[in-house]
Amino acid sequence: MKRDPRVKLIYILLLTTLAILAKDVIYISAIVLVTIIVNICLGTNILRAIKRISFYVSFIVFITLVQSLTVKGGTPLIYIGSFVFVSTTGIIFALEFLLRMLVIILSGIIATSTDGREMADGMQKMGVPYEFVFMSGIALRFFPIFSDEFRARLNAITMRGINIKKLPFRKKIRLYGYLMSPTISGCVLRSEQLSISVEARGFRALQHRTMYRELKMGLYDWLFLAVGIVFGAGFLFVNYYIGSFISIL
Amino acid sequence: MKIEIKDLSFRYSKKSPRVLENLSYIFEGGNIYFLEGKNGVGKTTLGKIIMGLLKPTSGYIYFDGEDSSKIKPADRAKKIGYMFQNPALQLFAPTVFDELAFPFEIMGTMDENIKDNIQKALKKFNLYEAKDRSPLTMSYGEMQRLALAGISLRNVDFLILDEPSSALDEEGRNFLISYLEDFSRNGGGVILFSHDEDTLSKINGVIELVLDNGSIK
Amino acid sequence: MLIVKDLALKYNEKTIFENLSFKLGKGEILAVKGKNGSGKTSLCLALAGLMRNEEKINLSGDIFYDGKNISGLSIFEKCLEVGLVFQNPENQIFSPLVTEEMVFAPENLAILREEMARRLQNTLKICGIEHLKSKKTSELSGGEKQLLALASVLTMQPKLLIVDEITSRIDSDNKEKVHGILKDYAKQGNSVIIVTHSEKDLEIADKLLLMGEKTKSED
Repeated sequence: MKRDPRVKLIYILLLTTLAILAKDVIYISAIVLVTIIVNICLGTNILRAIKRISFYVSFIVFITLVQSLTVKGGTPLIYIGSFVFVSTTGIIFALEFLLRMLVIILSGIIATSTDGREMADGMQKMGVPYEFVFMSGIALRFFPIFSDEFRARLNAITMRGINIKKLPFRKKIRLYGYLMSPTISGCVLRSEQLSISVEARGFRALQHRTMYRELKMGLYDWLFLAVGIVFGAGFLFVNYYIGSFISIL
Repeated sequence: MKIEIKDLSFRYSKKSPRVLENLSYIFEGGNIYFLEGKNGVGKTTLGKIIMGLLKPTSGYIYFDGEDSSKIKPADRAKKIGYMFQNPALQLFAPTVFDELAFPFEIMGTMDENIKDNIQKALKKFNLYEAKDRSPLTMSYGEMQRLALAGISLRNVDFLILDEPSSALDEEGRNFLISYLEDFSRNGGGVILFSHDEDTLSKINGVIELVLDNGSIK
Repeated sequence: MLIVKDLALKYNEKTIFENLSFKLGKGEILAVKGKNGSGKTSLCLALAGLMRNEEKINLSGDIFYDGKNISGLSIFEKCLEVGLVFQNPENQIFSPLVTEEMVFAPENLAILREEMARRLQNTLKICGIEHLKSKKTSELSGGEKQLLALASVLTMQPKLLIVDEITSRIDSDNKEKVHGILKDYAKQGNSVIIVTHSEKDLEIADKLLLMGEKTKSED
C-alpha cells in the first residue's frame, strides 16, 4: 500500500511517542502490535529489515539482559542467600525497554517503505527547513561513505601484499588506527568538496525551493491518518484514565 | 608469468544481469594489453576478480597454471601490482614518504636498502619535493604517480592498472608509457583498463583489446 | 561575455598562477591545458566564484560576466552565469538517485515543475543517459558518473559551462557524444571552458589557454 510520506512520518512520530508515554508492558505491547500491523499495511518486509540491522538488535537484547540483572525490586526470582540476581521489577523494566526499542525499530522500518528522497520531500512539505532535511540526508549518507572508504583502504592494504588477518594483534590495532585518520580526513575533505559543489548548483541561493516531485494526499492517505489519530487519542485516554494494568492486576 | 582466464562469468547478484560471460583469455608476461570498452561494461570488475577482491560466479583464473581460487588476495598482490581507478582511496599514510614505507614497516622488513629504494622511487616519479606532504592534499595526477611508485617498490611480475593516466599531464603520461615499456621489456606483463586514446597511440607494441558483451575481443 | 583581467593566485605565499587575462565570447570554446599543479582546477573554482576566503589563499584580479564583477553577484546570479563540472564526480554526486541528482540545481533555483521535467528529459536525452534514469548513483560506473555530473549541471543552463577533465574516464563513443554536447551548447550562444590533457578535446576548442610557467592564450 503506497502512502504519502507525510502520513508515514506522522505515524513514526505517533507510535514512538505513544511507546514512550505508555504506562506499562501491556500498553507498550499493544503499541508493538499496532506498529507491526501498520508495517504490514505499508508492505514493508519486517524480517528482512531486522536481519539487516541484526547487530543493533543483538546489542539491544544484550542491554535488556543487563537491565534485568541490575534493576532490583519486587519479588526475587533467582537469588542466592540475600543476593538477588533477577527480580520481578528487573524483568518488567527489561521488558519495557525491549518493547520500546522494538517500537522504535519497527517505526524506523516504516521509513524504509519510502525512498529517502520522498521522505525528505515529505519533511519539507511539513515545514521542516530544507537545510535541516538536506543535512540529515547527507549525514546519513556519510555513514556508508565512511565505511566504504574504510573498506576500500583495507582492500588497498591487501593489494600491497599484506594479509591483514595474519598480522599479530598489536599490528592489526596499529593498522586500523592508522586507517582511521585518513578515512576521517577523506570524509572531511569530501564534505568540503561537496559543500563547494552544492553551492555551485545553487544551494541556499533562494529562500524557497521548488520540488520536482508532487506530493498530494489522497483520500486513503487522509483516512489512514485519521485512523492513526483516533487510535492515538483513544490510547492516551485509556493510558491516563485507566492507568497501569499491572498495578490493577 | 601467465594469467589465464577460463570461462569466467560474473554477476553482482542473482537478479542482476551478467557483467562477464564465459570470458576466456590468456595474458602473458612481456606484453602490454590495453583493455577498453564502454562505460559500465565490466573492466574494473574484471580487474577486481583477478585480484581476488570479487569472487567469480563461475569459471577459473590460473596464475602460471595454479588455480587462483586457493590464492588469497594479499598473496596475489605479491605477484601482481594493482592500481585502483580512484587513487585517493588507496592512499592513507600521513606523508608521501610514509606511504611508500608503510608496507615494509608493517611487515617488519624495513632496512637501509629499502629506504634507499624509496628515495630513488621518489626522485624517479618526481615526488621527492612532495615527500613530506600529505597524499590527500595532492592533485589527482600526483596521486596516480604515487600509487605507481608504491607498486614499483615491490618486485611484481604483472601490473593491472585501472585508468592510470586519466589525470596525468603530457609529461606524466610519457613517463608512465616509458615505465610500462621498460617493465614489459624486462618480462613483466601489463594490463591497462583505460579510455585514454592518447596513451594507447603512444605505447609501442601494445595489444589492443575490447571488452564487450561480457567477453574480450 | 567573460572577461578575466590580471588574475593571480597564491597559496601559502607560493604563486600558482599570475597575470592571467583573457576573454571568452558567446558561442566560443576555450581549452585550458597545463601541467599537473599549474592551477587549472583553481582557475575553474575562481571563475565559478567558489574560491574559499581563507588566509592561505590570495586571489587577486577581476572576473567580469557581461560587465558584472563576479564578486558582486549573489549565489543565484552566479548559478545563472556559470556552472562547473568537477574533475572527480565522486566529489559532486551526493544523491542516491540519478533523477534526484539532476533536479537538485533546478529545485534550488526555484524552476517550476513543468520546466524542470522538460529540462530533465531533454538533458537525459542530450547526454545519452536515459537508460540510467531509474538507477541509483551507487550503481554507476566511473564514466557514467562523469556523464551524470555533466548532466546535473546542464539542467542549470548556465551561460558559461566549465568542465574539468570531463572525458578522462569516458569511453570513445561517449567522448564523441560529450564533444557534440559541448559544441551544441556553445552553438546555442553559451560559452564553454574545457580543462583537459587530451589532444582530442583540443580539437573542439576555438581558443587555447596554456597554464604553467608561462601562461599564454592562443586563438
